[in-house]
This record gives sequence, structure tokens and C-alpha cells, in this order.
Amino acid sequence: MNKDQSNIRNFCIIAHIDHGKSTLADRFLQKTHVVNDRNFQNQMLDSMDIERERGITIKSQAVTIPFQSKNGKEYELNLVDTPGHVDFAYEVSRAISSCEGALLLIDATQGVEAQTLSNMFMAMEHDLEIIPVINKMDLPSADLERVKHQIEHDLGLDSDMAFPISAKTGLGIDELMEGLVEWIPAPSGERSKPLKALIFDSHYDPYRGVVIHVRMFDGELKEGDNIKFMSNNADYTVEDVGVFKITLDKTGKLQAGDVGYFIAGIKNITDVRVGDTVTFKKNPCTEPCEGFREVKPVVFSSIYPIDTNQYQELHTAIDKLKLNDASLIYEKDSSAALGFGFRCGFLGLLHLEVVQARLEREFGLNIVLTSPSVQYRLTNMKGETYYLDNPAEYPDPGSIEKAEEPYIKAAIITPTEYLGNIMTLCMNKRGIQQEMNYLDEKRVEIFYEMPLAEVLFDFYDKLKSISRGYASFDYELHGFKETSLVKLDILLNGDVVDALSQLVFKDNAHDRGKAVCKKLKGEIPRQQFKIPIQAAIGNTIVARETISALRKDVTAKCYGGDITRKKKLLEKQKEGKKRMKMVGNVELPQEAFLAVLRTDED
Amino acid sequence: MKAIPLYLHIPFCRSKCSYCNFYSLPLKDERTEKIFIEELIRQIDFQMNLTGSGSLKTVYIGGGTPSGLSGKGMDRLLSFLNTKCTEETEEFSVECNPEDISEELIGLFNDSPVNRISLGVQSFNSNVLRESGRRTTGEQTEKALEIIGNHWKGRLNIDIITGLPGQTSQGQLHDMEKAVGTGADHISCYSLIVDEDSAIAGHPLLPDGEEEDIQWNLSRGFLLEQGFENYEVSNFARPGFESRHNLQYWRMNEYLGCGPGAVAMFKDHSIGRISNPSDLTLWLKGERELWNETLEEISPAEFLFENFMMGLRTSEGIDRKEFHRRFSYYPEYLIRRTIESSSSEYFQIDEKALSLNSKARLFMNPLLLKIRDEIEESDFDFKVHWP
Repeated sequence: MNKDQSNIRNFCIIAHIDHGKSTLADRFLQKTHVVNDRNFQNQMLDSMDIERERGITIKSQAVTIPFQSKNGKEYELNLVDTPGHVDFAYEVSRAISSCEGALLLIDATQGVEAQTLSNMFMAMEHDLEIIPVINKMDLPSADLERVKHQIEHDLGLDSDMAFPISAKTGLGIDELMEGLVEWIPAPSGERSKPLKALIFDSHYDPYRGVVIHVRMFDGELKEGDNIKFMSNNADYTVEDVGVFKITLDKTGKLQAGDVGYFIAGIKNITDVRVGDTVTFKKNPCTEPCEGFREVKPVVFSSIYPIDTNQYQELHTAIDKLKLNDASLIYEKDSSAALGFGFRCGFLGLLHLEVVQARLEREFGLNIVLTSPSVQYRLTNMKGETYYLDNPAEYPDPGSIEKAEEPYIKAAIITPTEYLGNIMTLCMNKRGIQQEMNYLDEKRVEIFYEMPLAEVLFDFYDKLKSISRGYASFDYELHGFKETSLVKLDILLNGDVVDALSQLVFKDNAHDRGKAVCKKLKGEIPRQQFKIPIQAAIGNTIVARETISALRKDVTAKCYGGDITRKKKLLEKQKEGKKRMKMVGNVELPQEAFLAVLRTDED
Repeated sequence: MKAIPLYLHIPFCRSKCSYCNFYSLPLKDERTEKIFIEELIRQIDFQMNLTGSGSLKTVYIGGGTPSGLSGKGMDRLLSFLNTKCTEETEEFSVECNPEDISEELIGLFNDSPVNRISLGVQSFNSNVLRESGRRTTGEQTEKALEIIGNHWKGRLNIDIITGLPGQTSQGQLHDMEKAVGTGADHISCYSLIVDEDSAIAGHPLLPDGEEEDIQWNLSRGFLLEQGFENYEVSNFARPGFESRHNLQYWRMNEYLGCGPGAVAMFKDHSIGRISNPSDLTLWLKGERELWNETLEEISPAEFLFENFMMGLRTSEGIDRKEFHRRFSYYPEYLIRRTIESSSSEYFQIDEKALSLNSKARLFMNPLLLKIRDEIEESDFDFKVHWP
């Protein structure tokens, strides 16, 4: 049976972090009984534990919601949930381009933020119909008039169109859903044309292989169809087609305008790229969907198993993660200190932390990550240019003619009272101010050019803390600029630990060395011998700390009644050991590797 | 009929010290105390019958603060215990707080089977005591020791804790000199264990790990110099004055444990630890022969590990013959991988015992982890003969 395309609405919810996106999605699901109340849990679409814990959506998710409108028609609403963090901007853009409309969610107590703006611009680039939605109206501090003013003034949208709601209490949701079917256009693809579908995500199912999430633009997709991906011409036969109803709901067919999934016996996710176009092997469509690009990682770090025997397991685990995470790139790597591992590229530091957490939780691995680095562009004496992200591969400084580092353009919106502190922070991070706009008398928007390396690690936390959480931040990559680099080595017990080396801006190197030594002293537990920690640039030692020797490692009190407790303590100590990496004869806790980056004293 | 060790837990204290994680309650009125003591006596009788014990081998009354019992209550308890003591009773200790020491109390002890006082000094420094939430002052402690010196006929242990808030290396050494100066034949010197749940956690004057290490090692060095033997990780005694009761724990012999919060270990169908609830009301509420105890069954492999964990704490080590009787193997055979992978001087084996040398004893935790792994990974087939 053919569905009536005019009854389909494809939409996404875009918002600044914490403005209530997942809660609104939950409310839609509950209203329409996609999930019965018994199986309902908060943040239904955030299926990973880590997403619920951190309140951040990492994977795009889609769900088809049936909706009975007051106008008598039965609609099919396809909600494409988008990731909520700047690290995943490309995924957001693909999800957005799967839709005809977007709900632009704004917190009634916070107002328009940096990500609100950047997401709106992205939605506008894709010609989406944008409906402003003012959330959290149940809170006493909700300021409808102020937000409406911002919608008119900052966003240039019609504030009369805005829907005041509370995703938490359900206030205004019915009106919003009616508005959604009224204002967002139905999809306009042609069913008679050759197949053209956009891959906006994929996930791996251990029993069925890769499940591909698509938005159908033209044509039809059925079981048994021979299809190909336009970026690499890999071809497959479709085995299963359906829509998302939290679980996969087989329908046998997808048509132009639909959002759904298909399975085609694909085992290798590297063949499935977000943004790619699916079409027929014979009789393909003429043009692919716009906007496909290779996702480029911006942060690099090496992952090693703590137990070197777990290398193979780590390999398998990263392969599996890659199934669900096309943006993760990796290659084999080895370190004198840590053995065999993988050099990985990530979209940002959050992405890195997510991968780390998943390797540990979902695969039970104990791993260490080396100091994350950006990718530098070096030019040697012969004038040849190449990229370098691994401090271990840093060449003899004499062979480098020119070093350049990646810069970003950062947009910050802040209440004016924090402006001074934020400008100081940006300056300390080698930022160059580009522009400053007063959005109104209380809020200002500033743009900076800053080295990516400076914002990756603790910039966001600092910004939040000096602005009491009020400043918001968004960035995009903005080319390379010449810089002065040195390699800072860390020596433990007199030996360089290659995994702790970092490339740093020359003028910061001494301070950095001191801070790293101090930080390591705090992180490395005392051992049975004295451990000197040194920071060096070339042969020059620039900082030194010493960890004194442990004089005993035994439980002081152990009588009859203490035995059970003592055994538990030992168990805990054993667990702790699993998170320690032997480097030479020094036991390094996992935290030490990342801690060297967060060296600033607060 | 055999003689068995007995631990009694008296859960009452005037106030709780901030590092304490034992079960304790404020002092009770005389009536509650009486009910408690009568119930305690019933439980002792019960456990002695259950284990077929005719008399007590050693007695240790701990707490809480046993010395805080009323004279009447203490008299009733000691009189009862007297009926269970015989020639075979080797040691009878009572924990006391300095502020409770009076000529009357010492007189009561002198006329009872009590032959060892364990005085909870912890430090002689009033500031350190105050920061640790103890009621006693340095002066009170000196006063108590004077009374003991003048009237007490039995043995004396002094408890000292290193690393208390406000303590310094110099102060610690000074405390040790005073402790030795009392003429005590036994000194327990414990590193402060900061339990995250205890009130002391996060105290701004707590010495860091390195400083605590120094304080403890200075104390140890001083005691060795003064002719004490470090016969267990934290325990020091003049030769022949080791705590007979505590040695029972480290030898993993069976023992009774009565009173709320007390733990016993004996064989009742299987080897197990019997824990009394850390709750006086719950403990009292039990029916005729029940005090709401919980039983932790100990598997043969766990029991084996515990024998290593406890036995290696002492300088006498693990009695090889007794070990063989219990497990049908000699101890060094079951942990040969650990022994081989450790420095050769760490483990000492002779006909009598397997033990750790004095240095290895202080770095026992990593060795225990290895032993634990070795036991877990091997599948010895043995039956346990115990007690």
C-alpha cells in the first residue's frame, strides 16, 4: 500500500546543550504511545548509558511517530534526533539535511545561545522551515518576552510563530504538534524517479550487520533491490527494510519522503559513510545528495591496552566501535613505553572521551590514551609540506623550515559582566579578537581566532566557570597559522616516556613542563622506590619533581573481624592495579596520561 | 573439652572518636546495661555449648569502651567469666580509656581473672587528641598511667596511632618515648586508617601519606631500639609478652565473638564467620538462641587465602605442620609461583614455618594480590580439616 506523502513530516529538534531536546523527544514519544508507559524511561532516544549520564546526545537517532491531528488526518512524524555537541557538527548537518523542518528549541530561562545560532544557520543553509519553541515555561524564572525579543532581534525569526511549551510537564505539546504538521512542509520527492536516499547514520547490529539509517528523497527501496553507494560504488542486495519505532519495524518498503532503515548484509561500516547517497546499481540517480564529505578528525591520541596481551581484543573492540562510529579513524601504532596500540583521530575531546568510555564499559578493556594532539602542518627544508599529529614522530627541529598549527574561529555569547574575564581567558589562550557585537544591552557576542590546541583541553570548562555557566561557545575550523613549536618530553626515572611527550607552543613550554611535573607528582602513587619526574626540551631539563618512596604497603589493623573488610580492600587494590600501566618499572595510573593536559591550577 | 578464645564487644562510648569505624553507642542507663550484660552472658554460654568448649583459652573485652561499664555491670560480667576461666586460660585483656581508670577499677581487675589492660592512649599530646575527637587529655592519660603504675598487678599494652591530625614526626617520637617509659610490655602502633565514612576524612591537619609513613617508621625504629620485637605488622612486645589472644586470629584458630558488632569464627556445619549485627536493638531482639547474626560461609579457597593473609602478618609466620594438617599441602607448595617471582630474601622457610622477613611484611599487600591470583588460577583439590 502506498502512503500519502502529504501526511509525512520529517523534522529535527535543534538546540543548545541542556535546552531540553531529549525531554521534548520523550514527550512526543509518550503523547503518541510509541512507547507504553511501563517501558518508558527518560531520554528514551539516548540509548547509550554515557549519553544519559552526561545528558548529551551522541548518536543521531530517528523514530517514526504516528499522530492523529485535530484536522482529522493521520500523520506520520519522523523525528530525527541530532547530536548535541560541537564535536559532532557534521552528524548534525546530515541529520538536518534529512528533514524539511526544524524545531529550534530555546530555554525560556537562558535565551538564545551560541549553539542556538549556529544550529539555526545550519538549518537555514538546508532550507528548513524553522519553528521556534520556547521550552521550560514551567520554571518561575522563564522570561517569555525576553526570549521572544531575542527571537526577533538575534535570530530574525517571527516570534509570533513561537510555541511556548514545557517539555517536562507536557504544557503546549498538543499545540506544538498541530503547528508542526501545519507549518513544516511535506516531503516532495518523486516515487517514480530512480532511488536517491541519504545516509544520515548507521549502527551495527551483531546479528544483522550494519543497519543503515536513510532519508528517502526519490524512488522506492524494497527488499531484494540491488543498490550501491555513490561515493565508492560498493553494491549490495537489500535484505530488510523498515522504519524506526524505537525498535526496528519491518515494512518491506520505503518510499520517497520516508525516514527509515535498511539492511544489506554489510559487515564493514567503512563502506557506509554518513552523508553518502544510496541508489540503484542499475539505473542510478544522476546526482548524489549534496554535502557529502569525508569527516576529518581534529584531535589525535594513541590508545594502548594496559595489559599488552589485550592488543588483539582492543583491535576487535575498536573495529566494532568503528561499526557504529564512522567518524572514528585509526591505524596501528607502537610506543617504546606502551607497546602496540592504535593511533586514533577524533572529532573533538568529547568524542575521545566517549570512545574511551565505551571501550572500557562495553568491551571491558583497560586502556590508556596518550596526550591528545592537534594536527600540525610542517614544511621541511626542501619545501615539502606534511601533516603531523604524533609527538613521537616529531623530526629533528633543524629539519623544519616552517611549522603551522590549526586555528579556529570561536563564537562566544556572554552576559556583559563576564566579558572582561572572558577576554583575558581568550588572550591567555593566544586568541585574537575579530569582532564584537552587542546583541542587546546585557549580552555580547565576540569572535576570536584561536589555536585549536588551546581550546581543546580545558577552555570550555574554564569559560563555563568564569561565566558561572552563562557564556556559550561554538567554533569552526579556520585554517592554519605559522607557529613556533617544541617537543616537550617527560622523563620518569631518567627515561623518556614517549607516550607523555607533547608538542607545545614554544613560549609556553617552560610553564607547561613545570605544571606537568607537578600534576604527575599528584597522580602517580608512591612506589617502593624514589621516582624523579623531569620535563625536557631536547637535552635541557626545564622542570623537576620527585615522588618519594613508599615505606610500607600493608593494612595496619587486621584482626578476626577485619578479615572480610580487608579482603574487600585487596579486591579494590587489585581493580586499581588493572588501571595501572607499567612503564619501565613505574606504575602509571590511567589518569596520569590525560591529566598532563589539565595542568592549570584552579 | 577444649578451651576456646573469646572476644566480647561492649558497644558503649561516652563519645565517638572521629577516626573510629567500630560500632558504638552512647552510654546507657543501668537498666539497659543490665539487660545487655545478661544477654551477653547468655550468648557466651550458647556459643561455648555450640562449639563444645569447656573453658576459655583467652579473653579479650573490646569495644566501644569496656571500661565505661558501671562498676556493678563490670563486676557481674567478670564474675561470670571467672567461672569459665581455668588453669588453661592464658590471657584476659580489657580495653580501657584513660579517663575511666580509677583505683576502684584497677582493684576490681586485680581481684578478677583480668591479667592484661590495653590502654587506648593513641597520643599523649592534648592537641592531637582534641583534633581526633578524643575526650581524654594528655594530663588525664598521665594520671591514669600513674594509677596503673601504683596499683596494677598485671600486664599492660598501650595503643598508639600514628598520623593523627596535627601530629608531627617529632611529636610522634615523643609519644613513643612516653609510651615506652610507662613500662608497658606491649605496644600496638597503628597507622591511622582514614575510612572515607569516618568523621576524620578530609581533616585539614591530617599528615599526608609520606609524612604518616615517616611517623610510623620512626616509631618502629625506636621500639626496636628499645628491645621490643615487631612480632606482627603493627604490634610490638617485649619477648614473651605477645598478645596470646590476638595471635589466635593470625593463626586462624577458631574463636567466639559475642555482643553487637562482634565477629566469631567457628565451624557450625561449615567454616564460617558469624557476625553479630552492629545494632544493639536488633541484637537484643533476637529470639531464644538467635541474636540476628549473619553467617558468611567461607569456601575452602577463601579460607586458604585467609590463612596466608593472616599468617604472614606475624614474625612466627605460618605453622607448616598445622597448615599441612588443615590443607594436606605445605604452604610454600601452594604459592610457589609467588615465592619464585619475589626477591629471594622475602620468604623464609624452615622446618617449622613459612614467614616473611621484616621488610617484606611491610609490603605485604602486593604479595597478597599475587597469592590471591595464584590460588584463584590453580585448581588444587583439597579438603579442609578445621578446626
